[in-house]
Amino acid sequence: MSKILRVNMTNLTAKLEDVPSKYRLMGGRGLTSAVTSDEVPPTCHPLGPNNKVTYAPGIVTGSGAPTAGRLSIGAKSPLTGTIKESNAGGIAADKLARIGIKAIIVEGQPKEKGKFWVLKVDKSGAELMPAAAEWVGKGLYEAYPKMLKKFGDKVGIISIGVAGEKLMAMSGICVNDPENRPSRYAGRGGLGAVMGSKGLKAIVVDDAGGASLALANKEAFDTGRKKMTDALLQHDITKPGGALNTYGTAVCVAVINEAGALPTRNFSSGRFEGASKISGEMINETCKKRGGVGMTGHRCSPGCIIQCSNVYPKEDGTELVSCQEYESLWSFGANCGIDSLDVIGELIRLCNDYGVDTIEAGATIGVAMEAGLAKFGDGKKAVELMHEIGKGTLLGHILGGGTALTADTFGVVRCPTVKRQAMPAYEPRAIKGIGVTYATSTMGADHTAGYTIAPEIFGVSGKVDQFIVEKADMSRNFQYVTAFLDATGHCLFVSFAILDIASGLEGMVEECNGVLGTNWTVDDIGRIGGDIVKKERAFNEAAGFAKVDDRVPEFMKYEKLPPHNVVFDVPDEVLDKVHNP
Amino acid sequence: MNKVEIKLFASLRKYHPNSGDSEAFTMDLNDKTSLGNLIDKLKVPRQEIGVLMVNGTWQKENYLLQDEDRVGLFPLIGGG
Repeated sequence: MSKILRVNMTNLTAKLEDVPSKYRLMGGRGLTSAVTSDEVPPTCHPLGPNNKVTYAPGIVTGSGAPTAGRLSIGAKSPLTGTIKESNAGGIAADKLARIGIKAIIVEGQPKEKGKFWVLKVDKSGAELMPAAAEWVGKGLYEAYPKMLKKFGDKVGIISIGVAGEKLMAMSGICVNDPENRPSRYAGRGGLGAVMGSKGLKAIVVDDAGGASLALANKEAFDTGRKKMTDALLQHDITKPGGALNTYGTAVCVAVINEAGALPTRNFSSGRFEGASKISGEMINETCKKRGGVGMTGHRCSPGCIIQCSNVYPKEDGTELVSCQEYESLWSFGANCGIDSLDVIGELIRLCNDYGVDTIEAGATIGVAMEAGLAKFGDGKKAVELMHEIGKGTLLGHILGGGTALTADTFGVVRCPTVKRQAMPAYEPRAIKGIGVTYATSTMGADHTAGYTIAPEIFGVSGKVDQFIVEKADMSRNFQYVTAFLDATGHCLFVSFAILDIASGLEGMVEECNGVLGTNWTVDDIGRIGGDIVKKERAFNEAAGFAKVDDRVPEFMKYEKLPPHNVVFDVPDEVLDKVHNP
Repeated sequence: MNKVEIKLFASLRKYHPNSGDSEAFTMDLNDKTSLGNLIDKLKVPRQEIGVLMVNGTWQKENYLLQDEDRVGLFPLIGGG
């Protein structure tokens, strides 16, 4: 039987609890948002003793289902003040599931400030121990090998970096990848600071003696798993040798740029003249040309069929960074006017090292450039600004507080945030549906909350014109389906295959039935996902959020975005209809 | 005659006049050349095409190309 591990940082205790019946059918985001909703006062300070941070593998994580190794982490966000769920790949979620941990709930706060603990979890239970001095205040490329030396190189490590230790609102939570790089992040919303506020440096997961998830209905599971696997192997986007596998997520750079929707120089244009130099095609070519450790088709978590990650080499073939993702390439690239993969790779490496979200960091540097702290395109200066964050200087704390804090501090009007979270790599003026999602998601500006780009640009699940504004229903449907998907533990990218291939969608539901013993059908997806979103929304309303917060920033309504020269013209009534159909 | 700028992306670059090239190239096309006619000329198999763009937005194959149009052809892609 799986258990919930409750860790109290006030008393420094860790104890296993039975899973309450109300949580039995939940996992991933469904479970983290339920716990946050049930146990965290919506008006609490995110960094105070009453916030809690919850870690949960998905429903099918650890079952052998393909591309299902996501770890959901939830809390009240210090960046947005809303409920937050951010999920990561890496190896830890699978290990937690294999030792029967359905969730870890970390609560309370130690009386002693500035001291850090590590939670060690294995099949026999859990214990808290003081973090060694050599693990704290260090870059994660230095700290991870030292932690691995202590705990063995087969453990999953869920850790914060110095930004989380210093309680910065752009800090994320890191998980090691299959080769133990500190590179897979639950990046968004400052969850690293919540973990840091609890004095918890890391959770170490040892799955020795663990086993695959027990199945309630093996036949249903096997049928579902096969359907999902077949869909992933068949679809052009997700199959081996397909778009994601060959070019990585960066395959999006060219098409979003072509669509006039690649935010450039702090959201002042939708096209970047250097796009081809930071594209997925260029990454693929550079890996081949430089050789060495360079590779595309790298997997970020065990059991992934898609394998969209990469290892990007320096000129001499040694490793610069893993991974050059679309979002990071955009945030430090087009958004900062930087067209060098080597410079962007260095900036991504610094994010991994200091423990910050690459989206929030790049958007923040973009605003800092607009404020005159550096010129657009000045990679050297961008690196220096990132070091300010790592050092925790006064300027570093302002930047580390995120895009909105930096814009407030320097009086920058063009502040691309919703609910104080930076927009990702799609311009809402040029692609209206994603703007509807940014404005109305329970998470602040978040493309993963309802990825309408699939129909608006890629033509997945049908083709819808990018400029049509009546997209309340579309965004709501995507938000609900995504919430379900985030609960299963599958990577969001399976959606490309299963939105086009109906049997794949059935397969996802049948996998869940196989694990849980339920009789869900695809018709239940919207209801279950909708319940998750409604719960999150109720938390936000109780925290003080209202309709007026479901808006994109004002400048997008009067500044025309080239090359289409469009403003964000989605009427407020459409935005309000998303959650009030 | 219409002068049209064309770019082929990702796996479609092999249909570039200089095979494998990712640079934009231009073609002089008769009036009333449709996007579909252009695809025929380039010999890009239909099943390999995911996204057709003209001037930064989706177009159908029956769209008649205009002077100075910018065409982008992509395989089926996704991610991000």
